[in-house]
Amino acid sequence: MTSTSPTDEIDRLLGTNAAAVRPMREARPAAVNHAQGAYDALFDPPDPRGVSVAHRHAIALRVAALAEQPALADRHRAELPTALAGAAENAEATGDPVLDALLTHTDLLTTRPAEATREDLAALRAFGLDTTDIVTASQLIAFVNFQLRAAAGLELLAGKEA
Amino acid sequence: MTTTPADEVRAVARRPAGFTQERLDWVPWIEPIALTDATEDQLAVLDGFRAESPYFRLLARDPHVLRERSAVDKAIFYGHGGLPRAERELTATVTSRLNGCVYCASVHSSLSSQLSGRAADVQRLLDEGVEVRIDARRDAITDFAAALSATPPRATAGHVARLRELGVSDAEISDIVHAAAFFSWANRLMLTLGEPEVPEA
Repeated sequence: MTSTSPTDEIDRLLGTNAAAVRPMREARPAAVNHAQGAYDALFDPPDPRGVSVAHRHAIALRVAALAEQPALADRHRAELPTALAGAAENAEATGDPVLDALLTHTDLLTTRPAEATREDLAALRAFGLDTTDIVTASQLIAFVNFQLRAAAGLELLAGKEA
Repeated sequence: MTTTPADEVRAVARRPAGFTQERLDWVPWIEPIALTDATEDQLAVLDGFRAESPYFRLLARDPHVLRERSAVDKAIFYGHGGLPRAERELTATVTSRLNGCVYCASVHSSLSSQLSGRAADVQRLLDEGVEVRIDARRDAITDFAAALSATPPRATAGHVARLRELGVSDAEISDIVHAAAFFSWANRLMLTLGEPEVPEA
């Protein structure tokens, strides 16, 4: 209960603020456990299919950059080769057209979700992603948007200005 | 004639004119699975109403993620104690209104109205957007949820201080955080995988 070591990804993002909000998080243990479960299912999948784990970290890094969340960016940058991380973070071409298409979709879904159309999904399909891959990529982008706001909100509750 | 998942992907006949508390349908842009093709893992996440829903049958293509998503949803919106459920649904409506998710806003505004008995106030939120003014407590919840849901988030310690001054507990504020965060997830799925349709009268 009083441990200050990170127990999950949101604790890790909160850093030294984690202990202050632990009682609030522990009031909803299933929310804590399954948020971590979703992270694990997305970043350590049984079978990544068309969206590799490296691509997943690159997508999460792009979301973190768009949402201006440095701790989250650090988390995913650490999982990537420097050049790839730099490209994903700075919205430059990565040299991989599939990843570039996924990052374009990441920008749309993170910053202007209501503008998504069925043509945007057709564009992903044109790069060889199938229906299941598109579902996974959508879950990934959407989940990271959840996770960063849970951490940002909890950080404010811990008393620190965002 | 049996409807196949391929038939479920189709042009929308009647688009909603705007934000509404009326029931809407949701039409997928890519193919859900058929229950007859579902694996054991997929069937396990398609219990009850989810088996009929094209949305959940589409998400069931990645069953491990769907299982965790549904469990997070249930914990945040149905867990005991903390923020009154009407205000959790109000928060879901604020985030959905900000993100432009007409379908999510219809479901959760209607729930918020049923739970609070304040359908007219909820309708003003849908009509006027997150700048609407209702009363001190709801305005403070709305402003915090909208600021946290923005990209990048722009919620501040001032939003939290205002809620605390109004007597909102930290456990309740944590529920607002999680309800807004969860709809930052849910809205993006519904907005990118399909679109709402007004049901046939």
